[in-house]
Amino acid sequence: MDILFCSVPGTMSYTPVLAPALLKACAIRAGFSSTGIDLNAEIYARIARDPNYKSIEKFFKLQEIDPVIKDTIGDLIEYCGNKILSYNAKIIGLSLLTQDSQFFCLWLCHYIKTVNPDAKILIGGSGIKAYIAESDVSFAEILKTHGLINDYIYGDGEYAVVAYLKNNLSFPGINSNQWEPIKELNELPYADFDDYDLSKYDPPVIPICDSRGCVRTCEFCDIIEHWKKYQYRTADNIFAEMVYQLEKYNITRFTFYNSLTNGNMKEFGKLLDLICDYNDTHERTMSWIGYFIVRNSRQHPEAMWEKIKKSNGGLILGIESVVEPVRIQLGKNFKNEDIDYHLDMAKQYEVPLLLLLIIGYPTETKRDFEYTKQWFIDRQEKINSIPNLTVMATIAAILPNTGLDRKQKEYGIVKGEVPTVWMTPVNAISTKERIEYLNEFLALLTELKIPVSHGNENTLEVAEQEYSNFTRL
Amino acid sequence: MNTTLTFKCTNQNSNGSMHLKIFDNKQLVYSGQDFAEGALTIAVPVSWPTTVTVLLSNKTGNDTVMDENNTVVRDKGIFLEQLLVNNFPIETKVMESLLECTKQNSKEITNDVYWGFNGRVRIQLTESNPTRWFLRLNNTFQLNRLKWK
Repeated sequence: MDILFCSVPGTMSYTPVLAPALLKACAIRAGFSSTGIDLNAEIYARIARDPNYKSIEKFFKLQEIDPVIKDTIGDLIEYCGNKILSYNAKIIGLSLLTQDSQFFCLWLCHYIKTVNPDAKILIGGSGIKAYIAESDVSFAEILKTHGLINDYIYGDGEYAVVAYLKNNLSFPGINSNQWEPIKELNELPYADFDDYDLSKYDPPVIPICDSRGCVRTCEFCDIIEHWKKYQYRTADNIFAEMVYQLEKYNITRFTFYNSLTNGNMKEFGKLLDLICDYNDTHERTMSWIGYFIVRNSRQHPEAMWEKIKKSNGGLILGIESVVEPVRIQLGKNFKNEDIDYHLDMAKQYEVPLLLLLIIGYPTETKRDFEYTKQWFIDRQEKINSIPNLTVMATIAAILPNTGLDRKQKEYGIVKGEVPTVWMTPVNAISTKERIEYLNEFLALLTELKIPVSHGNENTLEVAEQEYSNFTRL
Repeated sequence: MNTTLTFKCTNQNSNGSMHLKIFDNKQLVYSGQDFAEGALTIAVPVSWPTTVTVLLSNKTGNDTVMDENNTVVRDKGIFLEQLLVNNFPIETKVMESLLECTKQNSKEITNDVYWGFNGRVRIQLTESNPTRWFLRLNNTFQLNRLKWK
């Protein structure tokens, strides 16, 4: 086999990782033999119910080695390394979705190189950078310098990996932070999940890349710094892949791997029509979930909500702040009445929602904190009447090379050691106070019986640790 | 399991250099002398798990030169800066604890990174493979990737 693509564990999720399947398809289309496996979900399934899960997660995210988990970690590394080597591939392509896979990746590479020093390892994916908006490739460079990997690909890998297989190492993005985004997503092949056991995912779902980048310019966002131009696949192209994957794997659930599904309303509307037509004429209906921009009722009329329901859509809404001036200033140009409209429509059409909130944005004041809590108290009944709504609240972080990072002077921000630790004299709210506020807020939602997703625990823990370190100094 | 153990050192000479032999268990895997002053890197193949022994010789009483204040102005010795297993660095504090140094005519075991003595340094490489060993030693790879630059 010419190349094995494998996701590196670290994204604590049961959702299949798209990259190995998509890159495999690219390699095969170019005439190379390839396999694509997803070790991320497999390893997550192994550790998710471990009584020492929190300690295991700390190894992945912080490289902390609690003595009670050293054997478990050793087992995981050996299992992954031996499985990867068992394919006897000429090239081992390791894909890192986020930076949370970095520590496991370097230990895995070390194990692979120990067992087989001649193994040729190529790494790539947005996780090879510390932060996606940075052009810093120091992680990959350190691994390359230490001989733990042979090469790396920075940026979109679909064409770069084919160039690499053809030994064209001068192709943009190969061992360089200079890369070129793919110009036409419609031209990519359909992902090949033949080597995944899709029935083992909970629930079984097919990931589909429908777009890259974003049409908005939110100042906190790092995605727009990486993919500077919004690119999308046409509705016909996406739908054709959905039908293809459904018929091939008999799975009807789809998750769109993107920053937003409704960036292009014309294509989004067309896609809804196609899925609705399919669902009207088939017993087994499609369903989907995707990131969704909030707009006003004129742009998102009730007819669209009817179609979202008929297409079994689920929406991830980046609300960020319910304080309207704060939200508009950070780049989300919609009104609170638009949020209420989306809640009303979700209730009426039973559309599942995940609301994303940033807690303690630099321009929020303590009064805003109280306003936010009251906002949820006032809407408890409405929110609880939506059949499936979850709130995910994350503590505000100033990510490198974002608009917010560049506005440090304007906001009077003094940064700490990690993105979640910072201070601004504008509102004189400390990191400790923001952490307390987040905990208060989450406790309030629990009291209001509003489901909460705890996706931010590690970020919070890092912030708490760093804050504690500062106060000891 | 074949493994490469790399010693990254700084060598200093006085009446020549230290003589050095490295054994993988009882098998001689490296022998060197007449090292040049400055950076010295020695990479040796070892078969994991094993005990590595470094034999040091050629140090004489005339090699350590002091000034009138009893400050050493010249000495013969090798300073171990870093130890790597298959290019994976061992943290300094961990590395020091691994070095079991026994000086000639002494039974005392010390943890020295400065090898300016005749005697031996033993390093025990245990567990089934280096990965397990690093985990047991709590030896992490420093990336500082969470920090701002």
